[in-house]
Amino acid sequence: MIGTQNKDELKYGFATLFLVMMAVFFPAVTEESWFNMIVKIREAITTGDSGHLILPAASNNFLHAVQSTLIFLSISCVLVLTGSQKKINDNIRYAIHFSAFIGMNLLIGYWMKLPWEPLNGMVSALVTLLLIKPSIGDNYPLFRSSVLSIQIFFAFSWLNIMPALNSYQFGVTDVATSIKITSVYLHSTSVMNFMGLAFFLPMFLSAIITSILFMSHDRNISIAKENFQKEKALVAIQSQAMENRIYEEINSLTHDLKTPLVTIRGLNSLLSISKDIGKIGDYTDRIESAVGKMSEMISSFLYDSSRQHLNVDEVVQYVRAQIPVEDERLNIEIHAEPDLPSIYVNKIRVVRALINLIENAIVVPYTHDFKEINIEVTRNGDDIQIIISDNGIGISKEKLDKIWIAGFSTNQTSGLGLSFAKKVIEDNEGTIKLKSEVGIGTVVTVSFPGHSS
Amino acid sequence: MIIRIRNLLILPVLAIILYLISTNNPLSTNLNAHVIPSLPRPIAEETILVTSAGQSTDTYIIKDISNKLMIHNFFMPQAVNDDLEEINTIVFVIGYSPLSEKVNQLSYENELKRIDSLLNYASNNEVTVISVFIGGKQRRVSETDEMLGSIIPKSHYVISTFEGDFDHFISEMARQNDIPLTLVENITDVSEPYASAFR
Repeated sequence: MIGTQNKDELKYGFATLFLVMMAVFFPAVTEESWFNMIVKIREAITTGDSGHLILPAASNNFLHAVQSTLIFLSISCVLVLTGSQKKINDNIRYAIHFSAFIGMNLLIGYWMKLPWEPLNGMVSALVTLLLIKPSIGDNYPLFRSSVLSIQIFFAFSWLNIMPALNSYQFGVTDVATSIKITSVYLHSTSVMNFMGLAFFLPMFLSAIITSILFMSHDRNISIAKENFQKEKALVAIQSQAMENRIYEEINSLTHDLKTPLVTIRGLNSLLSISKDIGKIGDYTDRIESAVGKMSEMISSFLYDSSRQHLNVDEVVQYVRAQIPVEDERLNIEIHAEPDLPSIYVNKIRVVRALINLIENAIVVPYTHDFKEINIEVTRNGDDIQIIISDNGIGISKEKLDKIWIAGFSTNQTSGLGLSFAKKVIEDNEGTIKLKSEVGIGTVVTVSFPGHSS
Repeated sequence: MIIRIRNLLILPVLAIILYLISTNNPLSTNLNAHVIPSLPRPIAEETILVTSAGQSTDTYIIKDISNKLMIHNFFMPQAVNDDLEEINTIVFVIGYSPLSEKVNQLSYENELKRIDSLLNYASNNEVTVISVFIGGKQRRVSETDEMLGSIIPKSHYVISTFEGDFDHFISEMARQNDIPLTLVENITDVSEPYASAFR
């Protein structure tokens, strides 16, 4: 962090040094060009051709704009280098910038014996500061200042050669005055006015548009950052919720594990008091079977890929045993077609998924006197279908598209039940479909491929 | 709002500044008794020398006008006394240009000395002096005013633009020294009073 800060300071230090040197020595370096302008103006008078005025006009404006831009940017760099952004209030800093700009212009003008355009300089510096203030942002301040100041100083420099602005103290320097006097003599004031305006307006508009683009870019970046933070927070919440779900599943498994454990304990007490050798064998077989079941349950829970052939009746019984039926107004009907083929799934996970679906049907609000939930297990070609239907309030069409998204809920729940069920069913080569009609109810159809073995 | 309304408040302030700057309208200048539209009879004879006082490019405009009026002239922006042989009239085109002085490698002090020397020669040799100032308000820097102060009192005729006399500096000096003065609306109007000095 400190390294980056030092790097920035070094960068601004070099930029400041370069810009100040350029600003101070620019008039001396370009002296020859100023002389050429005088020669060109004389040529225009001698030849009577106002076309000869265009080149000195353009050169004059170019040199003035570059000079002003260099001074303006060198002050920007000095202000950045002194850390004034953090120490001084914005308005005071801009006032310092403005005053320093005038001071430096006067100083360089006095030292290098070159006059400057006071009003034009002040107006363009003021406009530049006004446009820079809202659009500078935290991104590339020097680059943005450069782009805006170059455009504005160039735009305003074209006002110097407009005879129409003579009485407004625009274009008071030697060359600008000579150009305007000559244009009056050559009857070309309208040409100069038009040319000045034709360059000023597009450049000024371009500066405003650039400023707006900078502002909108900053706004987009801040919106993107905000969205990123929100998304991050959402992912964290979802991850927390998923963790909670896992704990729930572990609780449920722990509960399920108690059944074979109770069996084992019971059989074990019988073993301790049994004197019948024949029964001991039977008990140990049953203990072995209970341990096998426990091992199977643990494997199913631990490994997604742990799957076994299950009789659908067995699954239905298992599900039925775990449905929480505490509400008197809840009526659950289960119909299973006889002689259904087996399914090849991860028992614990699939059962948990089905229970999740049934729990969803239980918690959904309803307007009837009784909550009716029908669970039908049927054959559909080679597949086994488990259809869970309820007479709840249903889900609107707009929400149907979002129900599979983790975290989305229509009834103040965690919103993870459906996404969990879908994932488990699809991991076990099954499919899940949901149809719903507002006011009538919801039908969830789960299909698994049937296995005749 | 992308550009804050508060920031736009600067516009009326700027407008007021511009208005105050522009209120010094040259057309509001009062004419005095010495201001005439042109000379009633010629006061100068050819051959003339067009020279500069301050080296501004305005001198080239008066040279061009002289040529167009077919007034026999020599054009020497940096003329010295030796150039005045057979010259009956000196036309000083006044206007200080620091850049042109640099181009011609002259110093302001030397320019003043040269002008004084020419004026002394003219005074001693009965050479007519005509002063022309077409620079307007923006050329009226302190150096130009100093030159106007040296040349106008020793002139026989003065031509200026209204804008150049925005503060009556020229007209007042002409009145005090009893020198005829013509004020013109703009540079293109200089030809008529200028020609009246010769024909």
